[in-house]
Amino acid sequence: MPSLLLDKNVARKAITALAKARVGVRPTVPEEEVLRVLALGSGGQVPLFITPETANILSRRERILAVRLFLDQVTVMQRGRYFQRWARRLGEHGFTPEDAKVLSYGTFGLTPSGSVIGVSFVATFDQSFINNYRMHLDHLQRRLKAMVSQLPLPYRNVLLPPLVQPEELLRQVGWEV
Amino acid sequence: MTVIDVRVRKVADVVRRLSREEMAQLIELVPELREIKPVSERREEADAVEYFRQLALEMSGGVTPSLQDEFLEGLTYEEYFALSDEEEKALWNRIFAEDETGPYDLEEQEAPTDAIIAARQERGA
Repeated sequence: MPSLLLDKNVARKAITALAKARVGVRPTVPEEEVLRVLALGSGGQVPLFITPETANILSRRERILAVRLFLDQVTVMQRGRYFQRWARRLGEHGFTPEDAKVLSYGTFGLTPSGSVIGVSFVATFDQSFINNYRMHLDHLQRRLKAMVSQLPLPYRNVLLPPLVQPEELLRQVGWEV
Repeated sequence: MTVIDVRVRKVADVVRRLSREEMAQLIELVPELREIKPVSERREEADAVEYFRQLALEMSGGVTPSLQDEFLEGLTYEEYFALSDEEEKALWNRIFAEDETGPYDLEEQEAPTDAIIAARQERGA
C-alpha cells in the first residue's frame, strides 16, 4: 500500500480547501486535487502522514474545524535514527532547512508503530523544492547509497522517495477516489 | 454514469479515425483540449468536495458558518478567501515559523530490524 508524506504547503492548501468545502465556496483546482488525496487517506487506501513539526504547530489551532478535520485524516511521523544526519547532508544541496527535514522524514521517518521507515511519495506544491530535488537527484541517490551502506539493517535498505505535486501523483499513480 | 452528448460522440468517432500525427495537429488547432480534465476526474473532485463538506457538517452538528465568521488568525472566511496566493502563503509562513516543539516528540527513535522500507516496497525492489 503506497504511503504519502504531505509537506506544509500541501497542509495549507488542504486546510483552505476544507474551509471552502465547509462554507460552500468552490475550491481552486489544486485545492480540489488535495481534497482527492485527502479522500484517499480518509478511505484508508493511502496512509497520509505529516511531520511532527507541522502537527505541533497545527495542533495549537485545533479549535478551527478545518484544521481538526485535516489532522483527523493524517498520521504524524516520528524521526527515525539517522534523520538528522541525512537532513544535514540534504541541506548541503541547496534545500531549505524545512525542505531538507521533509525529505529526511520521507527517507528516515518512522510510522507511529515504528514498523515502516519512510514513505512511498512526498507531496509538495513548492516547485522550487521539486526543481532542486530533480536537479540533484542522481547525486542525492548516490550520496544516500554511500551513507546507508555503512549502516546496520534496516537502515541499509532505505531509499529516497519521489517528490511530486499532488496532481502529478494522482495522474501518475492512477489513484481514484 | 455520465451521459455524453451525441455531438461529442460523433466528434469522438471522427477523432478516433485520425492518425497520431493528425491528433497532434488537432491539439495544435484546439489547445484548450490540453487543459480540460476528463469528466470522470472532475466528478471525483466534486465527490471529494462533497464528502468533506458532509464530514464538516457532521463534526459541527449541522452548523455551517457564515463567510463573516472568524476563520484563521483573526481573519473571517471571506477575508481569508480574498487573500492572494502570495498573501495566503505569507500568512502561513508566519504560522509555520512558530516554535516547532509540542506534544509530538522530535527525538530520533530506533526502528526494529525487520522494519519495512516504504519507498522500496512501492518500487517492488
